[in-house]
Formats: sequence, structure tokens, C-alpha cells
Amino acid sequence: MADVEKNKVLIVDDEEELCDILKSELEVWGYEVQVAFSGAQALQVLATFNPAVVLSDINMPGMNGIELLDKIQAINGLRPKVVMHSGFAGYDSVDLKKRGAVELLSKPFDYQRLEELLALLMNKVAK
Amino acid sequence: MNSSHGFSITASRINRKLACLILISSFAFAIISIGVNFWIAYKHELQVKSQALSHIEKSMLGSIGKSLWYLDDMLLKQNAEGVLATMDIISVSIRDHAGTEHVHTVKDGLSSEITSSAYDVSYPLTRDSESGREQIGSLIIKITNYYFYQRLKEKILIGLLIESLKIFLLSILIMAFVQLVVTSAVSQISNFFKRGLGGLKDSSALVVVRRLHFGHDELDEFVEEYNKLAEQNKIAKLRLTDELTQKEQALNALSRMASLGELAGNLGHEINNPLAILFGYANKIRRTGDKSTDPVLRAEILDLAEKVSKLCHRIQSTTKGLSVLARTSDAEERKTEEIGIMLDEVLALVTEKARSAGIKISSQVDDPRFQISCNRIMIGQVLINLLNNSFHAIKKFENPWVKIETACSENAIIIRIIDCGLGISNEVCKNVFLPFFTTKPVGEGTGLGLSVALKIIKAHGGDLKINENNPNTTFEILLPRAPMESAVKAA
Repeated sequence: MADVEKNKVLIVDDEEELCDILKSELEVWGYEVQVAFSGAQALQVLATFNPAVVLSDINMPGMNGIELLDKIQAINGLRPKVVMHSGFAGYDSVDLKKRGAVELLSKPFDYQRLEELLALLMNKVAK
Repeated sequence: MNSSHGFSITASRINRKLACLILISSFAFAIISIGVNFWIAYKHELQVKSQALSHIEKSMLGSIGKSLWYLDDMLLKQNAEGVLATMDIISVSIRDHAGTEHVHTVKDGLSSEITSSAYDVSYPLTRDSESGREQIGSLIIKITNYYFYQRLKEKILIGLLIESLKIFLLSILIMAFVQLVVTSAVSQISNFFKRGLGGLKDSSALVVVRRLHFGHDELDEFVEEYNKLAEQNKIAKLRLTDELTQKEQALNALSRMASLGELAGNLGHEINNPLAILFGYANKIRRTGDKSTDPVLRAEILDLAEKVSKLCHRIQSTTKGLSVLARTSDAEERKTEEIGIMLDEVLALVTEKARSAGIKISSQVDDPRFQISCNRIMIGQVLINLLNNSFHAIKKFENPWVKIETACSENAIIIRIIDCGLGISNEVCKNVFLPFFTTKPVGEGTGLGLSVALKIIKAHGGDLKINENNPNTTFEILLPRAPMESAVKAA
């Protein structure tokens, strides 16, 4: 349904080590993964890479997750976006969902749950 | 001390005003009184004068007439001296019918003032003959008004002196009386307020020393009423100061809480990020170990990965507790939660604290799958708050314990937090849910916990109260069962 490439995921987080480990885990699960360490870099990547799901941190220096969410929403509103947060950012979940986040993931998250969530989202995209 | 009581007469403006009033009114009365006296004296003098003249007319004219008829000069002279002795008469002359003057006597030492105000009065001298009464001469006397006016002047002067003296003495008497009875008391009151002792700032008692006192009067009543007010003011001020100090302390505690919350937020954020990475590594280690062909090494690696994962979970539950402190959770977000899971979470957070304080904590949940629609973190915050209050209250008891019990009905659940304390006093019960009320020592409690807890529970459509029927201290939280549709959605 959404005009995106299935099995492709973009990870955005200023925490490089987290990006690395997430990338390696997601690749084991069979996804093609690109990584961006900032909102601006994520937008650059999106120019050439068309992921089915964007997995983004909310609390980042420079462009934060909410601004990024708005920009990605403007590019393709149907692409599922998952927002990661530490539970201490004082976010408003209703507002984030209005801005297009399909799921909020509280750090530290259960990797098994992430795997199931990604599978579910890919399925939705496929339909 | 004496100067403050102000007994001096000169200093009192009231006395000066009173003196002016007495002088003016007395002067007016004196003028009227002198006027009346003058009139009476004038009338009296006139009467005296006319009596003297009528005496001359009645008793002396006959004898003078006879003396003239017989030309007895000696007797005439004596008669004239007699008339001259009468007051105000300054000269006497006796003339016969032909106008010849037989006698002329004048008083000695007459000044021009005396003679200038004199006038003549002439009386006919007659003789009884056969043909009737015939005039044989005349008696001419000169009367001066000078003495008359002198006497009036003297009388008025004396009257004026006496009146002035009377006024003076009376004024002094009245002023002294007023000074003793009223003015000294008023001065003391005015000095009291001038020194800033009265009023809202200083509520000292007003003491007035009365030198002359005829029983209870309005001034005494004023002093009594004022002192009553001052006493009330003092009490109110003390209460206000107390309240202010309490509020200040509560505010300080609140600001400390706020900075603590911020610190907890930063700390939680800094822990959760690497923790997410650590979970990933544990996962990767597990997968790597799984690939090992050596069964011993495989088992060891998987065991280690499991241990790392467990420790990560422990850290995670600690940071969850921090999120309660940081209060950054989304207050509006409600989810359908199972009571068993929620209570387990809360217990996980407080068990360590209870254990280190030697408090035995247990829970008895009759239906762990009972569902409520709530904000898990906020309800958790309430439960942790109640448990912490219990821990604080019973820490000095022997074998302290806290029990969590639930009682589920069709529409609601009651969560009871019971500790080994022996209930809460009525006084505390009344105030326990008010903001800033605390029984903890300064700096230990904000007094916000229970008021916030009640607000949270009310916002969830429930209620929080103290069960006074239980012999042990019991807090009861009532929460409604989650609506069916949201339960279905959650499933």
C-alpha cells in the first residue's frame, strides 16, 4: 500500500553504538538497514533510500525526533515510524501519534518485542 | 518611664484648648455680669443722690428760710456748711429776694475736672405769712457728677478684679481635674501609639495609669477593648507566622523535589540509552554462544548472556522507579492494566527498601487479572507513596510489617495498604489529604504526597481514604474496573 521498499529499515539515533548493535540485530532478522546519527543525516539518506519503517530516537541534538517526524511525514505520510525514547524526555504520546508515530518504544526495549513489531509493520506495509 | 506617661500639663494640647475655651466663655460671662452690676450700681448711686437732695429739701429749707428772714448770718452759715457736707455738693450760696448773696461757701481743693462736670440746682426759700406762702430768697447748690463717676469706676474695677480671680481659680481647678481624670490618660495612650507600640506591627498591651479614678469609665473600656484586640492580633500574627514558615519550608522542599526530579530525569536518560545497547549486546552474545559447537562453552556463554540480561532488567526496574520521581510520564495516557502485574512492579521497586529497613512486606491479591484503565506510572506513584509513608511511620516498631490486600467486586477493586501502626489520630485524619500537611520533620516530607495521590486517584474515577474501622493503619484505594470495550481493545 505505502510506496516503500519492504524489508528496508532506517535507524536514526545520535548514540552510535546503539545504531551499530541495532543494525547488526536487524540484519540478522533479515532486514536491509541504513543508519543515520542525526535528523539531518536521516533526511539525506531518505533521498536515496526508501525504507518501509523508520526507527528514530526522539531526544537528539540539532533536529530532534519530533521535527524529523514532521519532515518524514511530509515526504511519505504512510511510512510507519517508530519513536524510541528513554522514558524521561517528557513527551506527549498523543501528540507524537498525531504526528505520525505508529508506536512508541521505551528504552531499554525488549529485542524480541522489537522483532515482532517490525514483522507486524512490514506485514501492514505489504498489504 | 514617667516621661512616657506624660503627666505634664503644658505638653497637653487638650489642656491648652480647654484653657482657651474656659477663658473665652468666662470672659463673655464676666462682661455680662459686669454690665448688670454696673447698671445696678448706677441705679443705686442715683437713688442715694436723690435721697440726699430730698433730705435737704424737706428738712433744711425751712430752717434756712427762717434764718434768712431774721438775717441771722451765723445760723445761715451753719446751715450752708450743713448742706455742703452732703455728698457731691461742692458749693452752696444763699440769696435773698433782691438777689443779694448772704452766704457763699465752697469746698476746698476743687480741681477743674470736678467743677467742669458740675451743675446748679436752685431751691426757693419761703415764709408762711397771712397772705399765704411767699418766697423770700433762694438756696443755690452746685452738684458735681465727678464723684458719682469715680464711685462707679471703683465698683466696676473691683467687680472686674473679683470676676477675673474667680475665672482664674475656676480654670485652674477644672484643668487640673481634667488633667488628672482625662488628659493624662489620653496623653499616655497617644504616647503609646507614637512609640509604635500599638497597631498591627507590635501588639503590646496598653497600660494607662489613672491618678484620680472615680470607678470604671469609657477610658477604661477603651483600654480593655484595645487590649482584647491586641491579644487577638497577637494570636493571629503568631498563627500567620507559623503558617508562613510551614509554607516556606514546603516550598523549599518542593523546589528541592523539582531539582531532584530534573536530576532523576537526566540520570534515567543517561542510564536507559546504554542499557538499550547492553540489551542488544546480551542478545548478540546469546546468539553467538548458540552457534558454538562446544556444548560446555555454549552452555557457559548462554548462562553468562542470561545473567547479563537479568542484571539489565534489574537496572531497568530501578530506572522505572526514577521515572516516577521525574514525573515525566504522560499523565493523559491511560491503558488497561492488570492489577497483579502493576502490584508486582511496585513491589519490585520497594522490596529492597523494605528489606534494608527490616520491614516484612507481603501481598495478597484475590484476582491478579482484574483490569483497570489507568496510567500505570501514576498509580504506581500513588502506591509507592503510600508504602513509603507506611515504612516511615513504622520503622521504629518491633517486627514491622506492611501488607497489600485487594478485594475485587463486579465493578471495582479496593487496594488496601495496611501496616502494623495503630491507626491515625483524628486530628491528623482530618488534614491528611490537605496540600502541605505533613507529620514528618522539616525537610523530610513535602506534605504533597497524599494530596497529589488523592488527586490522581480521583482523576481515575476512584477514591482514596483511611479505613478507621481497622485496628491497624489502613489506606484504601478504590478504582473502577476497566470498561469492557477498552478491555477488548487491549486484548
